[in-house]
Amino acid sequence: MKKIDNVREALLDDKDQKIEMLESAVQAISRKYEILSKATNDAIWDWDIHADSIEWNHGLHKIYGHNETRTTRTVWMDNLHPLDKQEVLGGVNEAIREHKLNWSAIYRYRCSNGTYKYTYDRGYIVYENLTPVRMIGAMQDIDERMLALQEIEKLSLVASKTENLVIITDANENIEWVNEGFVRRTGYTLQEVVGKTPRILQGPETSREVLDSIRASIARGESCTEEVLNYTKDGSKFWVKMNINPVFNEYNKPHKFVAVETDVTIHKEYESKILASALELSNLIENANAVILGVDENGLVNEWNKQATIVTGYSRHELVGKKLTSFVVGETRQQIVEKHIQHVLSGNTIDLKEFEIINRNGERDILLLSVTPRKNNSGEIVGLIAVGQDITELTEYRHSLEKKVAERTQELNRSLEKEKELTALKSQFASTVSHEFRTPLSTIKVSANHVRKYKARMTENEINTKIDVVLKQVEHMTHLLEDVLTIGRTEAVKIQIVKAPVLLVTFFETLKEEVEQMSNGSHIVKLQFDLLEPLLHTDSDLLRNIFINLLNNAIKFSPGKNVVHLKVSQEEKSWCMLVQDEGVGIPPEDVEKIFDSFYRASNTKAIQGTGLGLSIVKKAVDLLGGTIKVVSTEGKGSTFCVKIPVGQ
Amino acid sequence: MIYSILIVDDTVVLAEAIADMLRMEGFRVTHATNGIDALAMLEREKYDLILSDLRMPGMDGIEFIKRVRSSEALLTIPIIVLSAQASGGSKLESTQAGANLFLIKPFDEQELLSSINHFLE
Repeated sequence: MKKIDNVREALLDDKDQKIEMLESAVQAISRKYEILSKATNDAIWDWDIHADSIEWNHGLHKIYGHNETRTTRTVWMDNLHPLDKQEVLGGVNEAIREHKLNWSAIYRYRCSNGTYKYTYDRGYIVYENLTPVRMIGAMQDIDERMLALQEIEKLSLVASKTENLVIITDANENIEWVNEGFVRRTGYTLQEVVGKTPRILQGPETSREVLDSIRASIARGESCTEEVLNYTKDGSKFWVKMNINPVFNEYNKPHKFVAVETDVTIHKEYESKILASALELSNLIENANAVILGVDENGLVNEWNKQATIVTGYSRHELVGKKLTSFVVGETRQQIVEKHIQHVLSGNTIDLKEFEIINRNGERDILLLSVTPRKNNSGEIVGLIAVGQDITELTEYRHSLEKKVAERTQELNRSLEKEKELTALKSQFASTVSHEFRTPLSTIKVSANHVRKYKARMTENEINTKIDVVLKQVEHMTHLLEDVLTIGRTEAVKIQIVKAPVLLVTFFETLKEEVEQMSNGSHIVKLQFDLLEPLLHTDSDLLRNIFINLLNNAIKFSPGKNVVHLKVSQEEKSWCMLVQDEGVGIPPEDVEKIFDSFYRASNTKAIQGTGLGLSIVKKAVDLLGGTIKVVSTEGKGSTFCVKIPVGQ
Repeated sequence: MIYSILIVDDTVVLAEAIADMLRMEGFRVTHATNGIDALAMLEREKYDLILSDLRMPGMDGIEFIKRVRSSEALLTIPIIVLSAQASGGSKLESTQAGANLFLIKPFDEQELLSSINHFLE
């Protein structure tokens, strides 16, 4: 190019002289130019303005693929990128108008394949008498450089516009550059931080451990990624995920560090919330007042809460990672429980089912469990969770309740039965009483009518006998009535007890006579005494009542026999009085009931009675504070034992 | 002719009162206090009519009537039951066993006499 400058000067200064010499020089230069232009990579052009012809060297082909060596200017103009054309042509026109010697422009020039290449075009304008006649220049391919430049621009745009914080430090960790994101987030300006250490972002709560780890990585020239708590200029906290990369120099030494920090405060808060709720959840599981246990897809325990420990006696530590069925289910039920586990692992749930378990002490417990599959984030079943309650006590309670209900039902049935019996007894009583009254009434009626009808044919003696019969029957009925009234009275109000000394031997001998008379001589009463003292302090009416009834019964229920026994003896604390007969006895099933009002033993149907005698006896004995017992063999006879306490 | 009546009743005083009355009416009357004795007496002697109580020791009236009716010789002897058991069940049981009449104590003597005469005619 320098050579051409010389030519230009030569042309301007010595136009008229030494033309020949110059022409030869020009020819020589031209040859050199040929050589040079062949050696260069640029597309060299020579534009004859007047002829409108451009001569091109081989560079045009080499760079742009065009084969021409001579074209019109229009060809060049047509190949200019449409967006650059106006500016480029304007530039050329302006340079010429203002008589500039040099012109240059960067534009895109079309290649033969239709693509464009960035081109740096520089030209030199040759004037003759201020009129431009020629323009010589070279087009340089700067496509790669431009693309690289664009890339850099893009990158720096990204770096400056990104929301992330970008920090570039030198090898000594002094900040060289920060981006707009940094300025926006931290509140520091670029000027404020340049030359400072990034540690200005750290604060009291920034983890020292993390910082140490970062420093260690940097010292080793390694890249690292850490989450760090940063502080803005005004002291508010924010979390960043920081990626630090060393930049190596030609000696492979890190001479810069580029840190890109992403604000993860929101993530961090979210994470801590998640962590908190996970913690809360695990606390809930652990402390829930319900048995919660889990197994993985292999049946190994992975959840075991406090309640599970309390109920089973096995701790979490003992069971986690172990096969559930090897522990709490008992040998015989292993397979069944395995089946249930597989059932749930294949996607089913079990709702409130009672499971029997064997606790650490070998005792049986009953759990009411609901079991559901446990899924991971992708929805795959990875195990199961069982939640439930220990209902052992409840079950036991239920059983005892059922038992109680059964007992109560039985009790009720019994009292119902009793009630029925009582009703039956009452109607039996009514029929018995009416029977007992009808018989003497018949006798009275027949005898009285007999006298009325036949008195003319009767002797006075015969009439008196009939009247005696009537009177005796009336007396009998009066007794019967008294019995019924006595029962009514003792059941309604308390009888007044009047105690006085009773001379026992005399008392019983009088009684014996009375009873024997009443039996019309069918039986005699044999008395036997074994007494230490002759007097008993008691109510003689009640005592009489007791033994009249017992002796009458003894006679009445021993038809065909002729003797009954009364034995009176004195024991340490009581008087013992036995009435013995050899009669029909009492069937075993009736023994307990014979003291009940209206009750008559099943083998007494044929024997007259009200079902009141023994009931009256029992009441009288009770009133005297004594006891009465009976020993009886059906068909052999009965012994009634009355005991009256001494000093009563 | 003099008819012979057997009274079966464990209540001696009543049985004797009835017997006295029937004797006044010209019957020959014998008294047993239970069914077993009465059956023995029926075997030994001929009776024209039986008056029987129901509730008696040893053998009750129903059983007694059945035994009487089971004997061919006694198939047609009139049996009048005199019972203090007023329930309808007793009357039914008696007639089913073979009694001809059921009278409740205390009974009407005139009715009893009319019935006896009716059965003996």
